[in-house]
Amino acid sequence: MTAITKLPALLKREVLEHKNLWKVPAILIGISALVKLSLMVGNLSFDFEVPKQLELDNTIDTALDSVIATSLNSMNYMIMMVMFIVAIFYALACLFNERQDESVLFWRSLPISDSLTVASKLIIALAVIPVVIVLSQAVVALIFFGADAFEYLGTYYSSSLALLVKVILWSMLPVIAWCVFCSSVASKNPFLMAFIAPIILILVDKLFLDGVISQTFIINRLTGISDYTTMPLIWGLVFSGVCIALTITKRSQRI
Amino acid sequence: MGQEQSAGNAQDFVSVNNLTKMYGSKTVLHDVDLNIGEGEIVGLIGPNGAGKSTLLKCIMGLIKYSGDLSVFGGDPVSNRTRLLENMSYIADVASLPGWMKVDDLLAFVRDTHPKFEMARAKELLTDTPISIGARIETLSKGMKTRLHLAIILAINTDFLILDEPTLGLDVIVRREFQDRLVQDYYNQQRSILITTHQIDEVESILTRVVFIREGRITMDFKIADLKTRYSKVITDKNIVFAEAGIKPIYQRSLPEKTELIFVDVDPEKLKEYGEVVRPSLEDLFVATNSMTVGE
Repeated sequence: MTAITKLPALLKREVLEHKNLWKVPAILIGISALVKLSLMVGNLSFDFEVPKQLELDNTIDTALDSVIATSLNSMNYMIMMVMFIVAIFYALACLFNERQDESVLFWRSLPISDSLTVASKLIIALAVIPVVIVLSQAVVALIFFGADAFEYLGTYYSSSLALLVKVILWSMLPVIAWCVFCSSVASKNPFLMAFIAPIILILVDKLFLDGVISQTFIINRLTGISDYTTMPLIWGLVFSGVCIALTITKRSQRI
Repeated sequence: MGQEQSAGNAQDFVSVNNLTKMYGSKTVLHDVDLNIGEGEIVGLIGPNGAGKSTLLKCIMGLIKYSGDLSVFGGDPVSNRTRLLENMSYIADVASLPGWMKVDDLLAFVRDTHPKFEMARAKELLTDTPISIGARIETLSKGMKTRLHLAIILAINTDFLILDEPTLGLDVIVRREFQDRLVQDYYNQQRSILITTHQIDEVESILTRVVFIREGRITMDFKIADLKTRYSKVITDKNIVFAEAGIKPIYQRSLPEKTELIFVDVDPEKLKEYGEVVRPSLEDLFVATNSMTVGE
């Protein structure tokens, strides 16, 4: 049994413990299904009628499809934002809960290294959750478009997948690494620690320095980066590496 | 002073030499020596704060130390993950994850521990009221202990460490726990190291006893030696033994009688002073604890 063969069991444990990982996307898909159902047999309908003289015009269908596609795009954007929030709360809880109920003592009595455990939590937040996002978006598109969904998804993914990877590398990785670290050290409330520390940094920077540090290190990452340049990526990777190393060390000291 | 060093050899599971552990400026373990080979049930016995748990934590690779410590031939801190495939322990019986279902937990251990036998664990749970689909937090404290023990007993490692395993459990569960240990786990190839401060409780299952006090090992002997080396004299006379050239290691004056404990003194010689019996572990424990450390 190697680390790799133990990993699936660790990932399964995370999914069993953190039910939001599948409940939240299930609820979002459920809402989409309800909306679609209402459009078909219920009260929801498009608020306009196509004038009689234009009914035969094919361009109208295309225009209508693009309206639906636009609203679906915003639905997909919502799925992504909600799942990012799920990822942050997951990261804040993942190492805090096991300390609260003292089950960390039991987990550490099994032949599983602390690095592998921390890796399993990062994989959930940074790989499994993005995959859940992409799959949920596909399911939602299927609900609304049926067989036509593949055409829509082709266009949608060709622009959004590359962006998703960039968001993960530039923004999510440092945010998740920081939250996992807070989860492993906070004595009472990892949520407060995770949010107050950067807020204080921003305040001090804005009030006494020129504000450039907090702008590049924190604010840009959260509000969206216009151009993904190399330096912020490197700083993000360094910061994440430090957070992850400290997290593994902290966990290895739990006795 | 009754200290017996078992010679270290290659088959020893645990080999401790001059182990010292300090917390800040406070020394918790002073130059501890201890070797544990196969086929032993060793009781590490001492009052609260004597350093029992600290010594165990060193052996389990949970804390750093100075001195020589080898568990299954390696340093327990740096080889911890591999070591845990050969050694199991129960750190705290209240540490099973409450949110998990029993069968999910068993499946997790099966998928992460190469020596876990699922069939054995299920067999050990059959005559308990623990249902396989129950959430662990719904089980009583006694049942959580049973479950934890079933998991540990189903792991085929050769060395088991138990730190105050029955603390807070009622007497029936405690007795059952010990019986399971001896019947289901122990054999000539395996060893158990168990700490407690309730001596009477474990006396019947131990093969060897190590007393620890203020971070030092004060006595280390096999239970078999208890019969041959130690004697207890109960007498109603007030005797000055120094004149006879024999000195008790412990003397306890009671209203009607005096109890004295001797080591390596021929019981025949003692008969003239009073009734000679075999001392209990508790007698020896109290005797060693009433002596000044280093005497």
